[in-house]
Amino acid sequence: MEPIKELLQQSIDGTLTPSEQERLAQALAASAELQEEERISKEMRHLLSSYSPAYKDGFSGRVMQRLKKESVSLHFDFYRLFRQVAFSGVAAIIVLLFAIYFMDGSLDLDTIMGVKEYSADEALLTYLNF
Amino acid sequence: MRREEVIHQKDHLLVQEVLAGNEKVFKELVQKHEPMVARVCISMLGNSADADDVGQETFIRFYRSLEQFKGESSLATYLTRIAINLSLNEIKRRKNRSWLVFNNPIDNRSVPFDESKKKDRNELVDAALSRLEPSFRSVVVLRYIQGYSTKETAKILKVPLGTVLSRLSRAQKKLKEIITVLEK
Repeated sequence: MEPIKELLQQSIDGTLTPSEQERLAQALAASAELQEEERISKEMRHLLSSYSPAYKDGFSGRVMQRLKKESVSLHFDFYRLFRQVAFSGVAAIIVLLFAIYFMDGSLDLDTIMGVKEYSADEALLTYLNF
Repeated sequence: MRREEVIHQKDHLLVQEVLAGNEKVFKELVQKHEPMVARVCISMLGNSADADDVGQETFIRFYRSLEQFKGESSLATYLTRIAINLSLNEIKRRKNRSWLVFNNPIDNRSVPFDESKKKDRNELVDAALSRLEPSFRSVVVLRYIQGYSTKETAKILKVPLGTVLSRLSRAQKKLKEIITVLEK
């Protein structure tokens, strides 16, 4: 069974069944406090139903701009991260090549793969395993 | 078919179009539901830049969660839920900021009421709502400004029905007292 205060709120919305209306009417007749609450509820509903604040012009444009900015920002962050990783990788490879050249004086494939000192068979096995 | 069901179906179709890549349709959805989101955010936060930001954030969050919107509730209710939660979060943030700078820890949204604007009902309601504590304000906003039933209000706020009824009863008495003082 609905509490009386819930019936009171429903009566303000006009959604009570006849039996619920009767139940509420009996409760109202027996309680001055409930009558006062009913009066205030109706007054507040009337006052607040006409409250109509609005945003300044251009709200939907601001939303779309912000959406676009956040999408670009997400794309930019990913691109920037990718670029950072790519540059770091390239820098590491260049440093490695310099190191190989200074140590071995050559940048041929055998030197880079570290098989310059190997025999042809050992070198082939290394390449195949790689 | 009831009018609400027709609106619900139309919104659902628009959402499908946005998911299919039609961004212009999303702007239509924003324009359609802007008044409702404005009512929630401005009544919770006052007519301020914060209310505009929270309103924008409401639609951004909705856009990001489009795929999760299954249409179980109406789009208006879905947006209302996001708007009211973001507004309550913003109020908490304001309180924390006030505490950090040793200001009055109570929600300092209180809007000074210009007596020369007594006849402007929007100003009166705004000033009165600003003086209600957030938990009361949210039930008043959902019940009387948005027109949800007490059961729907309880569902949106995720609190028991009894809590909504109790808060509503206390809120409307408090609001009445505040308005009486402001109107003097």
